[in-house]
Amino acid sequence: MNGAAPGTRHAGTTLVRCAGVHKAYDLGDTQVAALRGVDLVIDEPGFFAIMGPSGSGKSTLLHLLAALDSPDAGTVEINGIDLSGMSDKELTSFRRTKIGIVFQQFNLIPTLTAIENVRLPAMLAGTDDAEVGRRAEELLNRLGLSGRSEHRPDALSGGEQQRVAIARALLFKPRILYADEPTGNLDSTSSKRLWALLKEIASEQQLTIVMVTHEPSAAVNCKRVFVLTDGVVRGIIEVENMDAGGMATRYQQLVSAVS
Amino acid sequence: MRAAWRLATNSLSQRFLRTGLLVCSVALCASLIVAVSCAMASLNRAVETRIEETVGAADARVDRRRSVVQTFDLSVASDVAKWPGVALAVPKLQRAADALPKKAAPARPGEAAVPGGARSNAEGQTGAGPGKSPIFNPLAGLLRSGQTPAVRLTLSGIDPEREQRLRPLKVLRGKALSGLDEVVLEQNTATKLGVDVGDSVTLTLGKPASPLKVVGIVQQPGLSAIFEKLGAFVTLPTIWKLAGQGEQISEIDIVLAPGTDAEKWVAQNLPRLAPSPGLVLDVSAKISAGFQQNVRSNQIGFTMASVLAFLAAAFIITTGLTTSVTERTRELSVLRCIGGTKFQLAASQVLVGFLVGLIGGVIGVPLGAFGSWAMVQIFHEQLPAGFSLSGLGIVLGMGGSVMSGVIGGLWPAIAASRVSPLEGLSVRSRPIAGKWFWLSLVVGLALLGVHAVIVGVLSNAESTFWLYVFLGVPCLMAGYFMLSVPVTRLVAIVFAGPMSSVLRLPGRMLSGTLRATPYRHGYTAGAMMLGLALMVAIWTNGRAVMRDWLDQLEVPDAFAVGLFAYPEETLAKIRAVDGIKSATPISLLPVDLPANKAQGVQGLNKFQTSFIGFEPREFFSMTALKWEMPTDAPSIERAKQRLAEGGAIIVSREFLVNRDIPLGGTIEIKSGNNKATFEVVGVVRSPGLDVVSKFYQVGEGMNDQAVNSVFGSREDLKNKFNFTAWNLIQIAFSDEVKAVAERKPPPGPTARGPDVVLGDVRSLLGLGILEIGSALEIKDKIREVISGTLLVASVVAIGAMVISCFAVANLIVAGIQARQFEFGVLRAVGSPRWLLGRLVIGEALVIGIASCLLGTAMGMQGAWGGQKLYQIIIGIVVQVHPPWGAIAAGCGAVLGITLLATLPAAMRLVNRPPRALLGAMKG
Repeated sequence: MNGAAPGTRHAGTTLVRCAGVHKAYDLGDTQVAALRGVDLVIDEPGFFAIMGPSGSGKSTLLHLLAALDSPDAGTVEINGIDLSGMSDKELTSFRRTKIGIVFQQFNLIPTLTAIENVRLPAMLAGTDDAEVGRRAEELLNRLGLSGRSEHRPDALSGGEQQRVAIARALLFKPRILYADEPTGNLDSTSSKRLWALLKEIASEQQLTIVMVTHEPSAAVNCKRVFVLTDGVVRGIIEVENMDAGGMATRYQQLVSAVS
Repeated sequence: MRAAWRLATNSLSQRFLRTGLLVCSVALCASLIVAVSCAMASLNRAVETRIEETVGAADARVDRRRSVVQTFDLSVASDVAKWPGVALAVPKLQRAADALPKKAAPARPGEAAVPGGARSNAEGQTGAGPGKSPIFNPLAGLLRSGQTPAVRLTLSGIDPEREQRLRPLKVLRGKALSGLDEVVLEQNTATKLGVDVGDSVTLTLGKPASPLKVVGIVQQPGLSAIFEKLGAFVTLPTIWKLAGQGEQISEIDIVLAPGTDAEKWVAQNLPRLAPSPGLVLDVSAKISAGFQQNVRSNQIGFTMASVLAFLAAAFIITTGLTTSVTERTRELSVLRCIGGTKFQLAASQVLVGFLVGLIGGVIGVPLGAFGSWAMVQIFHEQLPAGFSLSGLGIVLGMGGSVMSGVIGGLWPAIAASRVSPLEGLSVRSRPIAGKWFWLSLVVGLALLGVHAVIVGVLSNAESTFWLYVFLGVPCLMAGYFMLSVPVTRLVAIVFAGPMSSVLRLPGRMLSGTLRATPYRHGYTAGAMMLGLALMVAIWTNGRAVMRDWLDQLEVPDAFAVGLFAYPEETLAKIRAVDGIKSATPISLLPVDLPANKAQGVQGLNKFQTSFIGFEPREFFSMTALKWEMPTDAPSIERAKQRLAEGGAIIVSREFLVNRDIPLGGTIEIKSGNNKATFEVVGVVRSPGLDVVSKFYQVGEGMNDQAVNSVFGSREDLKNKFNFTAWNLIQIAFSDEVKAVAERKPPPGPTARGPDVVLGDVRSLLGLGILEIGSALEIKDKIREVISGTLLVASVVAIGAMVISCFAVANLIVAGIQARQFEFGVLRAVGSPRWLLGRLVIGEALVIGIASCLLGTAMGMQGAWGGQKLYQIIIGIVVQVHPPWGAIAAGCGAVLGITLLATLPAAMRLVNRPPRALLGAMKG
C-alpha cells in the first residue's frame, strides 16, 4: 500500500484504515502533536465510536478520516482509496460524493431553507435537479421533518436542525458517515431519538457511521469503540451486550492505565 | 458557475439591509457621475447652439479688430459680395449704447435733456470742458434725479433681410425689424428695461437720446444668453442716425457657396483686402474650434474624475464584502466541508460584487439623469437647448458601477478561497495574524512613496502629468487605504483609554475589541477618509491660489474696456476726470509661441499666449511692478530702456517656469504671417493685465487662456505685427482717491472715492466704453468665483462622505453581526445592554478619528500634488498651507456621519435579548 498512487483503490478493501498516522499543529510558538502514530481498521458496516479525554486527538483523527485534512505521516484509506497525497480539489470532490459529515454545531447555512440545505452538496456538484429534489424530500420525511422543508434553521429546534444536517450528509448515499459529537448540543430526549434514528438508517442502508463522542451513553449504541489518549489508540471496546455503566467502567480503565 | 451564482444571489437576497447599503453607495456614486456628465452635455449643447447662432451660417468674417478705428465703410460689403465664391455678405455695426428703463422719471422742469456744458463734435460725440467732473451723458440729468440708472447694452445695426438669411432671430412677440426708428429687444433686455412691444425705449450713443419704438421681442441669440449680456437690434440707417456716423460698419459675415473650403478661400482672397489696411479676413470656425477643444479637454478631465470616484466605490465594496467573508467564515468552511471548491467560493464573491455594482448602476444612472433633467428645467433660460443625455456619462456610470463591484469583489474572493474546511469549525480562539499588519504598513508607505516621487522628483511636465493622473493618484488612494489599518491601531492605542473613561467602559474592553479586529476597523476608517481628503485638497489648493496668485496680482487701479472707436479722444477725456492721475492704453494680441513643455497636456487646457503691449514710460510710471529678475535698480532701469527701444519683452514668473527660457534668452513670436524674435529682459510678478483682459473677454475667441502672457511695447506691436488696436485703458487714481479706497483719513473734505470717479468715467457715452472696473472690484469678483467654486466642490466632497456613510453603516452592521455571540456572552455574564451600545459607539469614534487623520493627511498630500499640476497646466506657482477651518469642518462632518451610521445598528443591538445573541453560535 505504501508507495501506491493517491486515490488508488486496493483489492480486498476495508472501509476505513489508518496506518501510522501522525499529525501536529502549530499553536503560537509551540507545536502540538495531536496524533502520534494511530492505527485503526474498520472493515464492516455499523456504528463505531472514537472516544477519549479532551485533547486526545479524536476530532483531529475524525477530520483526517473525513478528508478535511491530510496527515503529516502515515496513510489514511477510505473504502480502499488512499487519501494521502490527494490535492485539495480531489479531497473536496471526495467529501462531496463519497462521505457524509455531521457536526456538533449542525452548521446549516442560515440563509437557506431546510430543503435547500439538504440539496446543497448537489448544487455544489452542479447536479441539482428534480431527482435530487425528490431524494431530499424523501430524506427529510424519513427523518421526521415532513412539513418543515421550507423553514430556515432559525425556525427549527436543535434536534430538527441536526436531522436536516444528517439528511444533507446522506444525499449522495455515502457508504460512510462521520459525526463529530452529533448530540453535543441536544437534550437527552432528543439525543436518544437521534441515536435510534441513526441506528435504523445504518441498518437500512448498510451504512458505516463513525462518530466522535465523550458520552458513554452514546457509545453503547455502537458496535465498537476506539479509545484514544495522547494521540494513540489505547484500546478497543467491543460493546456487544454492554450497558452504559459497563461502558463507562471499561473506558475509565483504559484511560487510567495510561495516566 | 451555477453554484457560485446561486451562492451569490442567496447571500445578497438574505442580507437585504447590508446589500441595500452597499448598493446605495454605488448608486449614489453613479448618479453623481451621470448627473454631472448630463449637465455638462446640456451646457455644451447650449453653448454650441449659441455659437451656431452667433456665427450663424457664416463661413468667414471681415472686421478691423486690430486697428485703432474699428469701423469701415459700407462699400466694402458691396465689394466683398462680388468676390468669387461668396453667396452672401452681411454687414453689421455693433456699438455700446445706453437705454433708459421704463421707470425712470422724466427730467424735472428747468433741467435740460442735454445739460449745459455738453457739446458734440462732428461725429456726434459729446465732450466736456477740461478739469471738471463733466456731464457727458445727455441722460445724466435723469440719472442725477436719482431714478433707475441707464442700462448698458450692445446695439447691433443690421440689414434685416440679409441678417435673417444668416442668423434668423426667433421672434417671441411682435414682429421682425423693418424700418427706421424701430428697435427689437432681446428678451432679457426687455425685462430689464420693463418694456414690451408697442412701448418706446430711449437709446443713446452719445448724441441726444432718441426714442425708438419696440416692434419685437426676440430670443437671446448667441452667447449673450450664456453670459447674460444685454442686446438690441436696429436697422443700419437707425444706428447711423443714433451715432451721427456716416455709413460705417464694424464687420461683414460671409456665407460661401456650398462646397467651398473656407480656409482655402480665405487664403486666396486675403490679398483683395490689401488696399484696405487694418481689415482682417478670417474663418469663423475659429470660434467653434476653440470651444470643441475645451469640450474635449473637459471630457478627459471628467473621465479621469469618474475613474477615481469608482475606484473609491471599489474600496468601499472591498471593505464591505471582506467584512462579510470574515463574518461568514464558519459558513464558508462548512461549504468547503460538504464539497464546495475554492473557485466556487471565490466566484460567488466576485458575482456578489458584480451584482451590487450592476444594481447600483441600474438605480443610479436614471437617478442621475433625472436629477440633471430637473436642473435643466430649473435653469431653462440659461440652457435653452434643453436636456442632453450624455452617452459618455451613461457608459461611465454603468460601466464604472459594474467594474467597481467586480474589482471590489476580488480581494474578498481571495479571502473566501483561502478559508479552509477546518477554520470555521474550530471553537478555539486564534491569535491575530500579525504579518498582514506589517505588510499593510510597508505596502501603504511604498505606494505613498510612488506618489511622492512623481510629484517631487520628476521634472518633465508631460510625463509628470500623465504619470500623476494614472499612477500617482491611484497609488495615493490605495496607499492611504492600506495605511488605514496601522493608523487605526495607533489611534486605538492612544484614544481607547480616555474614550473608555468618557464612555464608562470597563477596563480594556474597548482596546481589546479594537485589537481583535484591526482590519475591519481599519478598512472602515479607510472607506470614510476620501470625502474629507477631497475637501482638504480642494480648500488647500483653492486658498493657495487666492493667497499666492490672486492676492499677489498687481492689478491696475482701474481700467476701461471697450471698442474704442475714438481712443485718443477717450483717453483725453479720462485723463481730464477729477481723481484720475494718469491713463495709458494697453493693446492685446493673441500670438503663437514655439511648442512648450505643457503642450502635451493641452488636452486639459487650451493654452493661448497674448502679447500685451503698453507705452513703457507711461506704464512704469503708473505701475509699481515687482521685479523677480533682475533685482538691482540699475539693471531694472536698463530692462525698461530695452523695452522702450523695442525687440524686448518681460514675462511673468509662471511663464518662465513653463517655457524654460533664461533671462537674456530669446523667443520667436508669431501672429498670422508676421513673426519676430524678442529678448527676455525681465521677469515680473504678473501685472494683472492678462487677468483683466480674460475677465472681460478681451481679444479673439472665447476660450483663450491669457495667463502666461508676454509684455512689451505697443510700438513693437505696431511695427512687427501691424497691430494698433486699443483693448484696455489702464487708469491710475490720484493719491486722494486711493486714500479713500484704502479707508485712510481723506486728505481733504471733498476727496472723491473710486466709485464716484469711475461713475464719471462710465458716463463717457458713445466713445466705445463697454466696461469700467477697479482693481478691488475685479479681485473681489475673481475671489467670489473661486470661493463659489470651492463651495460647490465642497458639496461634492460632502457627497462623497454621504456615499461612504452607507458603506460605514454596512460595515458596522456586519461587524455587530459577526460578534453577536460575543455580545451574547457579555450580556449573559451580566453586562447591561447600554454598555454594548457605548462599546459600539466607542469603536465608531475611534474609526472616525482614524478617518480624520487619514483624510487630512491624504488631502494635504493630494494638495501637494495639485500644486504641481497647477504649475504644469496653468503655470501658477502656489505654496501649500493647511486650511484649518475646512479641516475642522470636514472632521466634524466625518465624526458626525460615522456616529449617524452607527446609531441605528447600535440601537438594534441594545434591544436584542441575550438569548437571541447567544443563538448566533448555533448552526
